[in-house]
Amino acid sequence: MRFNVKAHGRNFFHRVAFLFCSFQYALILNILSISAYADTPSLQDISLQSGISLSDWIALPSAKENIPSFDTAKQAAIYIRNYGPYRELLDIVYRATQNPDYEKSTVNEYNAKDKLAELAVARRALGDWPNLTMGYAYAAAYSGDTKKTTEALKQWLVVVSPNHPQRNQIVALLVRQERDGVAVLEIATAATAMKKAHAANVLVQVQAGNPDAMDEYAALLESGDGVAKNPTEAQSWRLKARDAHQQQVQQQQQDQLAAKQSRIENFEFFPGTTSALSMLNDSDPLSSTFVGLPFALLGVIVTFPTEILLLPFKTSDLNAIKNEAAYGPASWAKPDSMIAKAARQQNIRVLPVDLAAQ
Amino acid sequence: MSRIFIALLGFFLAGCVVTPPQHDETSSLAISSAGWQVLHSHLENAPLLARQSLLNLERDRVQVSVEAESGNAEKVPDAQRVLFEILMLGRNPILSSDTTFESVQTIVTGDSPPAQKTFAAALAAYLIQPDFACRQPIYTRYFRQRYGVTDADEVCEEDVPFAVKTHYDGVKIIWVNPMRVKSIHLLFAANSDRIASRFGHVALRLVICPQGKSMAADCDANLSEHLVLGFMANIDDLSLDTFKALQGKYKAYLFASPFMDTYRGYAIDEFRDIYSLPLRLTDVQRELMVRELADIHWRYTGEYHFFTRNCATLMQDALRSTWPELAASKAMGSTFLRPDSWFEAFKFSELAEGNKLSDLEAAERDGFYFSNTKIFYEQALNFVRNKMPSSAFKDLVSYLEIDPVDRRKMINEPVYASALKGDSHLFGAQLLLEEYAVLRSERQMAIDGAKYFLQQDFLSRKDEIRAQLDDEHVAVFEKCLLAPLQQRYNPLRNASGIPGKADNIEISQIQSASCQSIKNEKQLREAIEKINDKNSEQWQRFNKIAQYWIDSVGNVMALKNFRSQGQLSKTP
Repeated sequence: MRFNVKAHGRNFFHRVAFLFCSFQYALILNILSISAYADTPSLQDISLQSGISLSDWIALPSAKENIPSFDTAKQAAIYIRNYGPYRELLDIVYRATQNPDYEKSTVNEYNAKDKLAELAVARRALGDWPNLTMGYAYAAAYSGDTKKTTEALKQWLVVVSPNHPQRNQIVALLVRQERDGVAVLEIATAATAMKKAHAANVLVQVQAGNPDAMDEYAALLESGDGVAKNPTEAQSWRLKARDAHQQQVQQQQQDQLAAKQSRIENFEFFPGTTSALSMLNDSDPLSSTFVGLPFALLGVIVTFPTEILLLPFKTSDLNAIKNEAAYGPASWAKPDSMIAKAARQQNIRVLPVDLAAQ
Repeated sequence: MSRIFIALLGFFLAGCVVTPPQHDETSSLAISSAGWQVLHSHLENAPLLARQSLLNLERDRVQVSVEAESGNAEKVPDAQRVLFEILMLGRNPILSSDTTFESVQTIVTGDSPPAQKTFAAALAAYLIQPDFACRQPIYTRYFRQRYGVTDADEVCEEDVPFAVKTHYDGVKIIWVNPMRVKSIHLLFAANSDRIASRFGHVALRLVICPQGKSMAADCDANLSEHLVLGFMANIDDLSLDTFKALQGKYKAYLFASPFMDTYRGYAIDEFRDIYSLPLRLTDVQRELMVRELADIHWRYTGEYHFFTRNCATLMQDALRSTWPELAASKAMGSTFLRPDSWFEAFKFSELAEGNKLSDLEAAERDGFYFSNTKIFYEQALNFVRNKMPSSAFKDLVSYLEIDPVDRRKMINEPVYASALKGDSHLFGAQLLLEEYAVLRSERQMAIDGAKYFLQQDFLSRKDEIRAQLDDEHVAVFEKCLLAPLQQRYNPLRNASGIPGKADNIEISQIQSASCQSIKNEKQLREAIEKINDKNSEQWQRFNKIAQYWIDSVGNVMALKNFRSQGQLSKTP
């Protein structure tokens, strides 16, 4: 260890006990090259450039987050360098490294390079912590970089608890790497094999018609975990999942709908106006000269009312209605208009089949 | 060839300099005699202006300093960086920005001069990057015109991407093959009474042929793939702040939208006529214009001033820069501030096929005019009213104000149901009215939703909200609601020009795909139910309009199934 603590006062036992208990915190001191602290002042006594004390900064909501942001953690790491290894600061950095985005399980062949860059930045700013370093090792392994993988795994052994269950396995891997020159990348191939096995299990449930499994399979297709990445197919499975789910609740929904009829009594559709068509006044946020929030957020908004989540019809039917509604007016009133021709060319049904044929 | 030569030159220059440090340091780079020798030996075929200008640098024995970009050193090619630094010296006016470049820069990026840094970066990239002409075609044209550099070697990707804002699905990347664009029209949405559209709105329409078809009739009717490109202000508030809009506080971008969304917005939602005027362009001009519009689409960010920098003026600037005939036209030489005035003048100019709009009946058949739908709905309403024995409505408003459940009862009355069964025109009219109720209530739902957001002010209450929820619900709430709220404003941009397919353009979806999962939606609903003030008037109203919408959709569904069932089901 390259650090030496000679603190005294109320914080002393608190801090020292914590440091000895936390191997990870000790390591961060090493990484941050903190070599000597003598007569460390209390947090209240440290005044930051902004004028607030360090204890005030630690009490800010951003520092209290379960998983503080990267910027907050980076700032905490800077304060550790400048003022010392205060438990509260170390705790902020530690919690930030628990960000799920840093987990090794989030790495796959498609995002490995981006993850490698992201985790390199995080390691530089926050130091080596078990999560970060192992995530980096996986990203390097998926990228096929033996050197970086080896370096990260070695570093992981340094920062991780001596009792970590995976420790012996990594040591064995590094020994084999030293001996054969080709071992560390196995962490990626092993992880891929597990992901493929998991994806295969999910697919079995998908084929049995399980909507939750369809959702999960869509997530796998989006990320490329265990299956070939295919966002388009993922979206298709999302829709299928919704339809399957909606079918399941349809019966229950029928009963609820009957009870709802009274709810819309006395509802004034266009309050305070005499004309529905002039309802949208000058402050209409949907004016087509501007591109704004409401359309963009419609997807978010429609998830709000309880009823809408349990729509008594399929998403695909709803999409068809919206499409047909756009082509419908001109097709009905002016069958020789270009809109009507387009509807016919694109097989958009503006009338039910048997009527359109008349 | 000349660009290859200059690219080689750049690398030679870079090879002759002291290796730059990797991070955050600055050093002086002296270009060696050997480097200049290399320059001499390769300048023979270079364009005169560029050759002479670069040779002059030897006489001056220029030294440049290169500052590596922190963490970005690998991304910036050395040769390009060195060349950039040489050009930044600005010692030779021939290698410096001029007023033409400044105006081109303003048109493409919206940035204002001083432009020397932009100029140096662009020229260095032009000389070094092999795909520069494909990514930034407008700057490329400028450099070719100025330096006489010709380069027929570059082969661009067939398709150019547009980040298309869709009505329902957020932003989608659509790849357009300029060769499939049969024509480009100037689109004009007629004036309305609202402040924001008092003088109408102009945009461009790309008439894109279906894959594998090039007959005019196929292309014209392929409306679902046609795109509309228009300068619009991007509202970064929950509702339009008219005062802010008039002050030019909203940013303008060249947005892309599906034509059918545009049609729906104007002709159905706002009851405005749309005119579509074909521009007289050659095939080459058209292809180049599509690429150059894509360039602007990915890079332009400027202020939107309702009266002086609006959809019309910005589009005129853009077209003048990409279309020499327009720039040279006497009739269209001055800038029109009003969209309607510009469109009217354009219609009678030699640059457009104005005759296509002389007969609106024919124009509507041929896809040059799209009448507003108000009269269609009114026709449908009158038709239905005459056939429905107990019609309790006199116009569209009174029809919409009837509870959808009661409307279904009216439709299901035996006499009327029987008429519906035997008269397809009547059936179509009835379906049209119910579809209109769906569209109208959906629009109202969006408006009420925005008001609800304003009222709830989730963003500023996030700490309070987190305290009320468990970790899992907090995570979903932040990812699926707060994050989209915070990120919703930023259109996709790409400072280096038109992205290629290898760039894997990131789409910042309004809602990430995983938020659409059943589990996440359920958790989001639970989270909102927990924190929501259910007694608020806005929430009640929002739920009511949602219920109205659902019941109207139910009516449409029931009508569509009507024939097979013989009557509508009793409940929506």
